[in-house]
Amino acid sequence: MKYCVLVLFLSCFCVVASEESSAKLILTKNILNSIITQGNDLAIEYNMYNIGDGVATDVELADSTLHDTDFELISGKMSVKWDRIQPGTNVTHVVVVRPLKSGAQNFTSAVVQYVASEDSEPKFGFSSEIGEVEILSLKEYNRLYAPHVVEWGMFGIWTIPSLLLPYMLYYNSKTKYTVKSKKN
Amino acid sequence: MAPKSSNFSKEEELLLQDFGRDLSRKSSVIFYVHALFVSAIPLWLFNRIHQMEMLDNAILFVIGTIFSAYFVALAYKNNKFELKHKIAQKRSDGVAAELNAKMSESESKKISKKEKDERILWRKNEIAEAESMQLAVFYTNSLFLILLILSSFFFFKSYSPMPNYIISMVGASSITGLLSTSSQK
Repeated sequence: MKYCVLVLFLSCFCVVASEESSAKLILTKNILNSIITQGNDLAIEYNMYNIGDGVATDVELADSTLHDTDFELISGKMSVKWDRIQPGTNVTHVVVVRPLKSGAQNFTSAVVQYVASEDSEPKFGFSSEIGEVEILSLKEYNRLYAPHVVEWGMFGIWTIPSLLLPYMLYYNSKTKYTVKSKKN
Repeated sequence: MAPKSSNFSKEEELLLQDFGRDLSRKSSVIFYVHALFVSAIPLWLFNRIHQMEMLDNAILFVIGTIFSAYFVALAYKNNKFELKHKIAQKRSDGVAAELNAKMSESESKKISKKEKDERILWRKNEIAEAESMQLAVFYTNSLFLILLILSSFFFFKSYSPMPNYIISMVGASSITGLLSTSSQK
């Protein structure tokens, strides 16, 4: 009986000891732009949260999903390293790219590699997926979002012979014959 | 049923010309020119804002402009007919005053009352004809352009340019023509 209690106590101690000081990283990937257009800058934000109770060491973030043929790197790096991420903290990394093609683009996950606890093997994790996003061509973007002030101004000028002129002619005639009747 | 007689007296023909729906040659030309012009104005918007190339869509634009011009001209004709009678009633006093002012006292004594009334009626009809044409053009063009802008840039904004053009032009011109057939104004 005593022997059983001792074995039970030791097994619990081992379980507790094995769960101590282990990091757990969660990686999110977000697009900061509300509208994505070919030829205009696109900002992608990576947030890494350490929700474990241990320090994450040798952290390496890599995103190989943005190919050179589809995106031009403007600012930031697609592969970043951090020495340590303390438990309960987060780090943020932003990359600015420029889409070279329009159309539907599938933004898949980035990968993070880190060491969760001392003398343990490196762990791998994947970020959240953004999914399929429509990249507008410059022509389509101008069609939908440009103010077109000059175009509307010219349209207003074109409508003068169709609207203003007939109404002025009518109004002049109306005024002439209304005044005459009032005078008499 | 007896066949209709097509032989009207000169007076009857004048009455038909003055009070009927048919337009004179001059009026028809004016209306069709206005209709073509107002139907062509949206091409500017579709070319510059919706980025539709003129040469690539030439056939569509020509057909759309002619279709729209037909219905807009029809609306001009209907609206002018409705407006002419109302305007003529309102201008009676003004026209009478104008003619009385132009005639000297001696002239006024020479011509009979019937002759004077005929002159007033003729002048009133001339004024009403011109004013009703101008007001019909203004009213119809305003309605057409407002409907076109609302449909193209609000209701169907997310549609691709070609369906947007077709729906907007056909819709705006058809509704303008349809509303002109209403007799309540």
